[in-house]
Amino acid sequence: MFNRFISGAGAITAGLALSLGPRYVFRLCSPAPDGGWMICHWTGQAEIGAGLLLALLGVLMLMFSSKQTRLGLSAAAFFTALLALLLPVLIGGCPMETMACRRVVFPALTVISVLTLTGFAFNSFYLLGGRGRKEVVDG
Amino acid sequence: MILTARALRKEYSRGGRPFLALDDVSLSLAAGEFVCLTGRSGSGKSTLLNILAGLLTPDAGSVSFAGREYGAMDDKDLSRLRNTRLGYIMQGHSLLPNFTVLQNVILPRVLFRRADDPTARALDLLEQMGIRQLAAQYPASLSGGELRRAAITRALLPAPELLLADEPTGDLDEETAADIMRIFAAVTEKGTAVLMATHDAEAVSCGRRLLTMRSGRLV
Amino acid sequence: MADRPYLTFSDLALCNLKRRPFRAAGLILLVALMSFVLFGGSLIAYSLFNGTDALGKRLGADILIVPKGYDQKVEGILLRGEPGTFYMDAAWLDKIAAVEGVRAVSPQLFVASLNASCCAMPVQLIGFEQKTDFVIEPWLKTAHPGGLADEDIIVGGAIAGKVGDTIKFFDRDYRIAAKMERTGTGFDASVFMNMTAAKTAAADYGAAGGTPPPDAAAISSLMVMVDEGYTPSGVTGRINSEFGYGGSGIVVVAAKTIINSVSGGLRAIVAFAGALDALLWVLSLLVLSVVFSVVLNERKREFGILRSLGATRRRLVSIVFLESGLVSLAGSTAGVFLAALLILPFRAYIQDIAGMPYMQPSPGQFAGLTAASLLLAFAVGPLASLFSAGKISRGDAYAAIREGEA
Repeated sequence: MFNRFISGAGAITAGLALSLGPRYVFRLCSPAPDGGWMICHWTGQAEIGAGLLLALLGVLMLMFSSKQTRLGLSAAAFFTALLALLLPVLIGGCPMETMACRRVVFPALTVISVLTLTGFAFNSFYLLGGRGRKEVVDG
Repeated sequence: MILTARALRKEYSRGGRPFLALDDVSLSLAAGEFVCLTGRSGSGKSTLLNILAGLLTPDAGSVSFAGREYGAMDDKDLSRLRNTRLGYIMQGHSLLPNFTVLQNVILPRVLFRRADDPTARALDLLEQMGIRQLAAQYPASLSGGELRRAAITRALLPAPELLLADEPTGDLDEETAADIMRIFAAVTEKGTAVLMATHDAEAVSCGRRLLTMRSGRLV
Repeated sequence: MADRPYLTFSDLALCNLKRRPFRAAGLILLVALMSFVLFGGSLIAYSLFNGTDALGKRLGADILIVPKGYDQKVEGILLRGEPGTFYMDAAWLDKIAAVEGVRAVSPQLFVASLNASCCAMPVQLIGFEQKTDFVIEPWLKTAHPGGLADEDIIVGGAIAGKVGDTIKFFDRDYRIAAKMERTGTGFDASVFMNMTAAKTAAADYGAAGGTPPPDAAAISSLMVMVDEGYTPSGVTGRINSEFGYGGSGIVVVAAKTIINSVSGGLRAIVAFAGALDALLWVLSLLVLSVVFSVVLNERKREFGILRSLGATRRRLVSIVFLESGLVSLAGSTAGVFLAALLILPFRAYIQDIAGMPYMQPSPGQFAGLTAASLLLAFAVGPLASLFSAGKISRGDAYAAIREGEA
């Protein structure tokens, strides 16, 4: 029960942070003067998708009690977090390192997704019944 | 003689004052012998058993097990002796609460590892004790009598030559106590010597040889 | 665990930790916090020292001469990469060259680009005189043999683009001829070009609404190398007395002064971080020691049982060490992991906040730093249980039960 709550709430929190963070907290790049969007904007859009998917997985985790189901959800959350980690690399960001997206937003996304995927790696291992009751670290 | 103790003496300091727990105690046990040790609490029974098990060093006197002097053995030799040839049943509950009954029973094998898996023998012994169905239970869910049987099973796992039991029936009802006594009697028939400390009241049910302690002396 | 009947020795230690999950979690958290501060602090301090070191090496000149009032500006350019444009009279070149003790002088021209296409953020354009330069050239030789054509530029490590790419400044195309290594200094956000190209850029800058150069020959600064047998401060004093303080319109800055101002602040930070580390380490050691000795008392009976079953004293000691080792291993690993996770990606942000050159250690140095921090943080556990271990190995303690203690 405890594990269910922690993993579900963790996934929801991390998912919301990934999807809303770049928009409202860290402030990704504003539109260019000519009205066009820079690349980092599209990375942010993609993160919204990955984040919402993660949050949705978290909701499902709260709903299901079967160990097998939660193992599947946990593995899915792990790979979603991996995707969220890779998005800034796959899509890219502003060319200059000193710009907001490269300085603050991408690092923040990295931290959130690494914490999440570490947490769900442990959680999946725990649900596999690796070695009894393991401590669950969660993002 | 499987066990011989000569002129044992042990003194504690209690509240700053010396307290003589054992005073010139000598005794010997033959293989397969069933001996009861009675005496009021505080008369020195536990101290004697601890010394006989090699857990406590006497201030004077000597103990030998199957001809070997404890004084000539180091901690490792003594521990190995307790682990393989001498069963010790402590006063009160002595199962570790975080382990199942079966895990508790095979605990001695974890301390000195041997190649063979003790599980089969442990289950067999539990069967003989009538608590095989409790193997996967944790101690918290067992009754006093069941806990004691489990502790005895554990002491018997290495097929010891001597079993030391400290008030194994003290906190049990009459019927259960009688069960335990029957178990000990059966054990001695297989050649294991048993030295059992017990309260005065139960001494009558103890058949064979009876030793009585008073203020640290055998009387 | 019921499905795994055969026990292992480490289960004895593991099970005890599980029996008190919140206590175990608390201890792990404490060690994690300690190792977080320890590793995080040393990683940042190391990076700052690294950056300062790189700045000292890259600066190359003993003395910088800039127009009066621009000494702060030049520090901003060097340390933080804040672009700026300023001019001084080119006549100073010959005046300074004539001063006794001056071995070499080379002019530079600083122009801030306006929003460049590549970067959408102004960068520092630095023009240097290829004939007399002794500051930039040594670094370029390794990066780019041969001189720079007018449209060729060398970019700092933080500028986007690779060799061969074209970048626009003031609507003019420039070709990246070489890219410098990252140094963690203001040079990372700088673009180097020859003097002719820089003068064109300065004119463009004026045309785009910035301050235009007062004349075609204008420069921004002079880099001075001091002759052997002379000290930078001595030559600084000589220049000042020859041209008069204040009235001359120039400021003479010894390069050492800039570096010292950086490393002075750095020493204070490092001292503070070091004191905090030491305090947390000792605190963790104390708390763990107290908790472990309390635990020992609690477990007298358990150890008595194990003793009666044939556990040697050494076995009991190793159970205690295994437990404390597990706690400090979990804590120190978690702390170091989190510190690395939070600090490594935010490199640019930290540099920004610190306002100092900041260069993270190479992978080898990083591995060394990690190993040292892990070891130091991990040591707390076993050290804290030394007392308990000593108590166990002494005398008759943990006989099964003592007379009257039943």
